[in-house]
Amino acid sequence: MRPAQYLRYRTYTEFVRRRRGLKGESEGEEPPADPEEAGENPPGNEQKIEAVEPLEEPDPSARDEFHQAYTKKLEAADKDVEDYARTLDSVSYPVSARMPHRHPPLQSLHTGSSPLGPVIFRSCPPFRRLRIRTLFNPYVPWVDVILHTSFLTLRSLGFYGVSASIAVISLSLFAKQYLKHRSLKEHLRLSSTKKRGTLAGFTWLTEGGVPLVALAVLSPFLLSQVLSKTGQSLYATLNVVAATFFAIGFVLVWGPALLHTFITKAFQPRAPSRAPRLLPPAPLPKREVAPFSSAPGGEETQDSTAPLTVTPILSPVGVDYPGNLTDARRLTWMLERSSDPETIHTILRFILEVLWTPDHLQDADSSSSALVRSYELLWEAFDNDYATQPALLRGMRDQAFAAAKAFVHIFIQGDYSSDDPVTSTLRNLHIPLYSSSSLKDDANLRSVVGIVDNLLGVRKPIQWSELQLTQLHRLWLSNVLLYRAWYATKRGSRISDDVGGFVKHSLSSDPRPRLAVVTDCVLVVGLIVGQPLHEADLLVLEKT
Amino acid sequence: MYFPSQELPAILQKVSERLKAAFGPTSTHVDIEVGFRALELFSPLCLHPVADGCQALFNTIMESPHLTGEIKWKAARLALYGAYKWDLYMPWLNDAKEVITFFEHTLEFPCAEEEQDMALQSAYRALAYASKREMLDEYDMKKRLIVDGTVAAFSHQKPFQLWKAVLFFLDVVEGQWFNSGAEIMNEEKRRELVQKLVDNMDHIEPTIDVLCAILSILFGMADSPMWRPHLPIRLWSALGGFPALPETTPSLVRCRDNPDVIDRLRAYEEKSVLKFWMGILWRDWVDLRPEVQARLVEVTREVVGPGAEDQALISAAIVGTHQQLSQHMEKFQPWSIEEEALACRARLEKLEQGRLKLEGVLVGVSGKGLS
Repeated sequence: MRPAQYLRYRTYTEFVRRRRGLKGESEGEEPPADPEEAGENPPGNEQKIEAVEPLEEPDPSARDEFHQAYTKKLEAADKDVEDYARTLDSVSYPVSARMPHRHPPLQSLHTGSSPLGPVIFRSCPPFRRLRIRTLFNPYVPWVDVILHTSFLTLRSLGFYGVSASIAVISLSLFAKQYLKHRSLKEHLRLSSTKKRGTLAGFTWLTEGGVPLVALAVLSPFLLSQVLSKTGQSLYATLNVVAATFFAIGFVLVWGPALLHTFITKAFQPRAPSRAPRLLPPAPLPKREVAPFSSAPGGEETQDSTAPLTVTPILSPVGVDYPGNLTDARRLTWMLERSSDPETIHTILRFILEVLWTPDHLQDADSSSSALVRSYELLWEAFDNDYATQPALLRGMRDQAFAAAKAFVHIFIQGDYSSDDPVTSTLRNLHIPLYSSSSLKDDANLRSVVGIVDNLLGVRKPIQWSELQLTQLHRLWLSNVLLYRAWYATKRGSRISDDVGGFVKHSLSSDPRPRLAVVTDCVLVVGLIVGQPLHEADLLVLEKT
Repeated sequence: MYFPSQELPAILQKVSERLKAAFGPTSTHVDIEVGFRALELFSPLCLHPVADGCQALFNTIMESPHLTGEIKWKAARLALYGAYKWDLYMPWLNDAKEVITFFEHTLEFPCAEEEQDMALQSAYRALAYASKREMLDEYDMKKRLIVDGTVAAFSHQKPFQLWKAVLFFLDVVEGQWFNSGAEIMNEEKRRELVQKLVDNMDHIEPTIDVLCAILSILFGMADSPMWRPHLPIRLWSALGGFPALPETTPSLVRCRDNPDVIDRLRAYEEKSVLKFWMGILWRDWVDLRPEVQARLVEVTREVVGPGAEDQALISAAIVGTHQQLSQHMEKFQPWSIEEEALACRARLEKLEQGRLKLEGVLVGVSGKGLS
């Protein structure tokens, strides 16, 4: 029995109808109803359960016809993607530029050569205040402006000690900004990096440089008028006090940062070869559209182990499609290059419709890159600057939800284990999200980030009984957790407690969840007791 | 080779079979551990096949010779819970032996409170809702262990489903408890149980089923000379559900033939309950034993005053039953000789005889008969 025979039906209902039709039963007969709806089952009148039989082969000519239509649609989709790739050059810079500010660990994840950036924001109080200022406009370096102005003013007045201290602080900030900018460039790695660098420089100049110059020119005049009557003794005292103050400030600002960096670098394991790394843009591979052919007599000539290119739920003939270009790779490619929130959101949602199983993906980089990008997008929605508990940013809920679901989907379907290099890298960076107070009223999001936590090694059980999940979300969860249980069974390991907890809660919840959820849960129970599960069961979402 | 599982019943059947195999005679320690884990997830599911599967699994576990110790009882607890947790469907017990064995073991060796309550609840539900009185009569339900455990569980401080199941369990075993003549508990315990019955009446919705169960227990207690003195007047307020109580209820039949019940009711200051009870007796006048008839006439003359209210109260049962039977007779032709019609006609005739006798007695008391 090949799975392909079952992939042509989205639901079991459809499958059962078809099967019964082939067996010569009445066409109008409905599939078995929900046992609960069937009323009380009197003793001694047990429900008859039909033996399960394989489906007969469908008509090959109908499949050819469908395949042609499907190919045409894919061609159109290819064209859309290429058009979209051309328009990516016009993606606005600031939107992407905001990303590394959100989650400092990601900065080091991408740059690797930026030792100070991630540490500064996390450990130094003065720079937290800096973030408050940058909330007003993150692209205007107000601190630099003020420092430069003060430096020029004091130097013009003869306060050389103070001005020298300010100069040191200022240079430090410049260094920091430079490193941050370099990390941004590395992060973006767009095809027109040079162009974007120019754009960044222009932004710096117009938004930061012009006010700086203006203030530098005007301020000495104003301040010299105010301080013109200052005596010599006051000058000396002020000079010494200010120099001491700035020296202490310098140590306080940079000391912990350097120490933290040293410790982190000394003890953190090196990034493995499969570490998240945004790939340079690759040209879209040419689709090899091979005509679908079936040998006379219904025997398929295609190799049954050919990679599944497109999820069969979306494209029933996908399993027989011989091309190597997968939808997963396509999505990864788009996800790497997109910065428009709506586009990202759409891609994230589409990720859930595509298979990411290792058997169906030829290169592991595709899934790991998409996995890391989803993780980044999840963290983009959280602010982790002020407290140990990350807080969901206002207006970022949908992105967080979609990104978390995409991450869970890729992680579980991709069968990432705890000792996988990508997993271990992310685990070192991960901060638990489940207990974030900002998610208290959002059960759906909380449940997904709870799974993210568990996948990344946080051993805190999800309290399913506290979560009032929506029916659709529960349906998605049941399907993805069935995958998790399936992989665990395949590996011969124990099915994780969060899956068991979900099943127990879903099966005992009142009102009872949808039948599809119940079926998924019962399949999980079956896996626990050793009941083998056919791969086709995983692919069907609505098991009704 | 296996096939994908297209339908939930097929999957459930397969899982049930696997579970039975996990606890079967050839299972290993690992199988049992896996079975536990699966059963823990499987048992809360409210579906017919799950309930049936769990009942079969319970029997397998109880009959399994190689399952011993706490493992056996833990598995049995889960399986019985899976079979009897759902209000809408509970598989009938063909033989209560295994459940009673489990029940007694649970009472004798209590586990953690929550788990104990769950186990007792499942057992009480199986015995009270899914078994017949005649079947339980074959087993001794008067054992001290069972009696003490039942009294302890019959408290509204316990989970609602637990003490509700105990209420219906008392209805099922009332014949053994109250009609045996044996002293199954001391006076203090008897008073405690009666008081719990009164208290619990305030914590449960008085549906027809509940009232019938309470009435059945009440009549059983009222018939017993050991229990009768402890019955408070408050308990008799359940008589409001009397019309729904089947006339063949064993405790009602016994109580009706017991003239001492009338004396007990005479002892209350509040006479309305006595009058209502006398109305019930007058309704069944023809079927009463002679000594009960004599006592009834005597008490009627003593208690019923000349006012119309007393007469209305005492004749309420006759009038109500007459209306019911008359409506029922409308379904038949006047000359129908169907069995049901004949029985209905005979019952009406008996009612009429009782009414005439009551009228005669009331004429003697107030100088005028029933209006």
